[in-house]
Amino acid sequence: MTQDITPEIQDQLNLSALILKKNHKQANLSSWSGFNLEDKMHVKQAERLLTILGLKSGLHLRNSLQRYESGLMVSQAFEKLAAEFRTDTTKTFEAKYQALNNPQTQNTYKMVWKYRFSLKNQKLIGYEIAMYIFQMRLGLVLGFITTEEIILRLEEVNATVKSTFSSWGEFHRNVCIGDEYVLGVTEQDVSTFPNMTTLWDHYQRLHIEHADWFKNWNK
Amino acid sequence: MSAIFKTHIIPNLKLDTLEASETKGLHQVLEILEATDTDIYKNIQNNRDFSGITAEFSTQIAQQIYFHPQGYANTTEGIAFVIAWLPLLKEGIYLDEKSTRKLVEFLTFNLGYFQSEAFSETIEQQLFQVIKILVESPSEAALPIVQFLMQRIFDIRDVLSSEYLIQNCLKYDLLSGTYAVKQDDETISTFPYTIDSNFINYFFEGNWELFIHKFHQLLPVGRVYEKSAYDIITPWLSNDLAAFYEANPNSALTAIEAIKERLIWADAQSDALLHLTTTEGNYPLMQALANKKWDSGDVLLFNTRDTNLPKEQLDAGYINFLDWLIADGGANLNSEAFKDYGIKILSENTANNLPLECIPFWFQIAHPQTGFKNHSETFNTLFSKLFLEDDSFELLPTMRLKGKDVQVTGPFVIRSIAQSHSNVLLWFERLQMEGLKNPLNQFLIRAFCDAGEALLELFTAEEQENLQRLLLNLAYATRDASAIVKAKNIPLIAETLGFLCVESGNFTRVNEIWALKDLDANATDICNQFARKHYINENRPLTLNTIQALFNYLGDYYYSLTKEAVWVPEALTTQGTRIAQYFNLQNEDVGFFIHRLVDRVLSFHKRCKSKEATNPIFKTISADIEVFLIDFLGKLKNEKLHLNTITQLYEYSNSDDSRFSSNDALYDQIESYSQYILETEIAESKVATEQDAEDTQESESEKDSIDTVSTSKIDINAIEVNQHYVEALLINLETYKTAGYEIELLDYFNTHIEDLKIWLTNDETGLEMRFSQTLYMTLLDTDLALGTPLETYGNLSKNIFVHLVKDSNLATSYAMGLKAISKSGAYADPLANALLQVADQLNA
Repeated sequence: MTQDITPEIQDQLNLSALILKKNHKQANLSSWSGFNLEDKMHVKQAERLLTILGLKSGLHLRNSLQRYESGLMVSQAFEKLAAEFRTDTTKTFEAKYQALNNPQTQNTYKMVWKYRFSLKNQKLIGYEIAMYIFQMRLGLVLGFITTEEIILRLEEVNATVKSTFSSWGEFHRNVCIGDEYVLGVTEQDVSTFPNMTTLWDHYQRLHIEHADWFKNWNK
Repeated sequence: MSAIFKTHIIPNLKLDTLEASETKGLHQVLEILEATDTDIYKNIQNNRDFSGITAEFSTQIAQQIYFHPQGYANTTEGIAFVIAWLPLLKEGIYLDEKSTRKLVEFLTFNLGYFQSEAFSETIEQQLFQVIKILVESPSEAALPIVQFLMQRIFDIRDVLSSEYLIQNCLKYDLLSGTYAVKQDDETISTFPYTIDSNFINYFFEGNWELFIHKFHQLLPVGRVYEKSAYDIITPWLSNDLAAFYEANPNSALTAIEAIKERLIWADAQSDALLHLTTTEGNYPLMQALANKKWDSGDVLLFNTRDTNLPKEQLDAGYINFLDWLIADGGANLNSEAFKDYGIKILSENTANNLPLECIPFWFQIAHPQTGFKNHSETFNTLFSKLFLEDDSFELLPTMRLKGKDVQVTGPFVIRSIAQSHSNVLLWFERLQMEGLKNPLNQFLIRAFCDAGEALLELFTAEEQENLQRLLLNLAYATRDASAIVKAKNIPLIAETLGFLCVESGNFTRVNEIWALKDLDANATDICNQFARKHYINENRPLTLNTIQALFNYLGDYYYSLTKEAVWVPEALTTQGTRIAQYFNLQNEDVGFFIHRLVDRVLSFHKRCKSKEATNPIFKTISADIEVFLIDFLGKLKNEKLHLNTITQLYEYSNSDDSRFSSNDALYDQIESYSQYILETEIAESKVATEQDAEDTQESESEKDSIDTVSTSKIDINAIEVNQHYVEALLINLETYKTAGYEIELLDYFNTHIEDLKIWLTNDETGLEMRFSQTLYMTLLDTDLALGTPLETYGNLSKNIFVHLVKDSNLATSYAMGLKAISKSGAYADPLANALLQVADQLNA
């Protein structure tokens, strides 16, 4: 049974708007999943995303949600490295950075170094919760999850986000940082993929098209 | 009376040599012939008296009547002569041997004429009537005629005559029943028409080979879709013939060839012959078919087999069939014999008739690597009908092996692949890419499932791991498979994996298998049982991982409204004690884990309680959680709990949104902790004072001073402005909310405020800064504001603050801060005004 989307739920769903738009440009942000279930191409895209994320069933999905919720997915690794860097000096960090051969790890180091103090408390929780909600919406396409369950789960993570961040700007910034931290150098370069829209593009568009959604930070 | 008798025979009859009895016989003959007006009849009638004499039809009379070779000189007359015998023959007056031989000569000579159009049908009818009477007569005339017929029928050099006689034999029902033979002692014996030694002796010169040779030649001859010699011979088939075939395998082989030819050319089956049995019940011809190497004809022949035959007779045939199919690199698969007939051998059959060899055969022929690409589809269809779509057996059928019905088992199937492949799994891996829609995979899954625990013996640990991976891939790649295939196979895969995945601890694998339930509803139970077995298994030692997983799934259970992780309530209601015992036995500090566990459980309890009204499900969840907490906390040793865990439990238990209070046992349990804490605190302070006594040097350390002053036993009269009491005051100002209000102490310093100020100016440990900051905080505390019970404490501290800060470097800053705060709107007007007053006093 599909429930109605109340303004409150819409506000909670919007926490995943940025990630959803990035993964599915045509997403309808005011629907439950964002995907048009009548449109085969939409369903195919959802299936493709689920495969990439390794979500083969409802159980896979829930296990993934558990990992995002507990910070096991991103925040713990980030914080571990950040804690280490907080005691480093520029010189010792430089040495560590130079010792790496893997550009992906180098990128990670650079990111963590940059945010080692500013994200001490927030870590990358914003990004994780955005992914959490995004995955629930994806799961809905193949019936891995029901809207009732989504409502229950939304309530919890909404509380987490709203108590961790103080505004939409702060939250979305965290999502962007998290996305860059996770994907790193794999983010497509606009010069080689001219039709690609970066997360930053989506961010701006989102705030222009749905300006009213992102004004109030409803605790 | 016919003319020939009138003109030639009767006038020439001689009575001289006849005995009286013979004369009487002749007399009767004449009567039958209605020759009563002839001279000879009158002669006999007048001269003889036959009283007391029996009539005798001797050879002499027979010859006088029947033996007239000159009568055959002209064909038409000859036929008329023969037909004229009918009245006599009907009365049982038969030919003697000599006249019969003459008759046979005549018949042989005129066979061609009989088939011509000049020979009218009425006459033909009469002629065969004569022959029929003679053939069936119990006289010496019978054998020569029968021999004549046999000879001509089995002589296919003159195929037209043979065919002519065959058709007439069938028409007049000749050559059935019995035949009569005159023995050497002149007696007549009768024998049934059956192929035995007598038969061979009388008709084929005692030579079996001759008969067999002619028989096989004759068999395929005849007109299509009409009766033929086979129909005459069928009733004659005998055990003796079977015995001959059994003793002469070569003859049996030629018989098979003849039967095949008959099948191919005349399109007629020869079941009776093919299924000939000896007295011992052997089937010599089936045996011959089983022992030879097959060609297409044999396939055709086998296709016409009688399905009622004993299975033993067919076993070898099926195996030959399979050999034929893969012979010559599968060339026969393209033949018509296979397409039109061979397929039927498999398609119109059931697995329990077929030999076990079918399974390896199928594996070989339909496997993408070894098989014949164009034909694997055909065989997959055939065998899936036999093995997968037949509901008469559960997983695997019974099949034929070495003449017995054998239940096919999983281990057998796996071994039979192993025999021809060094690496079974590699072989399976290739196949697995085809997905579940490939029937071979479906069959293998049945085999694996049937093998069950035997899999652990059949495969090494590494291979088992591999197999699990392969099966999971197979299950998750079910996109193309139909719903029916999924419904049948996913539960089997889940069950098989249940056998394979027995090692504990690999929860990634466990979850992957558990998740199969989402692929098909039929697998739900099996998968949930499987997961339950891994997460709640009393036979396995608990680990932190398991416990953690258990409480992680509490979330899924809650969020999905009990639809997922269905074993969680069982875990909650049965595992509490066990988990507590696990923690009790740990030497390391597990308080952190317990805290997280309790925190998680409580948070879900809280959520359930707050939603109880919307859905009764939440009520059951919170009830289960309470059962767990009772079991768990009841068994857990108190010292395993951290103080903050106890605080949390205590606060939650006494908060408004908890309903623990309706659960007395749990409530009491949590209440008991406060007693425990009190006891430990007393014990700890005892330890502390003992240490105090032992080590007076460190008695002035900060920690100890807290302990000594916080016991509220300050002697007012002993107070003086010194380090000890200043620090006591400072600490009270910092901790008054929990430690209590030492108003007297504060009052003392208020009256001795100048002393305090001097003491602080001389102090070098930085207490002054700390003092003013602490006092500043009390200003902002609404609990100490005007009009509250603690107004005094607030006023005293305010007074001290103003005295201490006024004229110091910090006075302006504090004043500005106070102004800003009072205007921020964070405080109610009375307090804001009080703060402004303080600011004014500072600035004054």
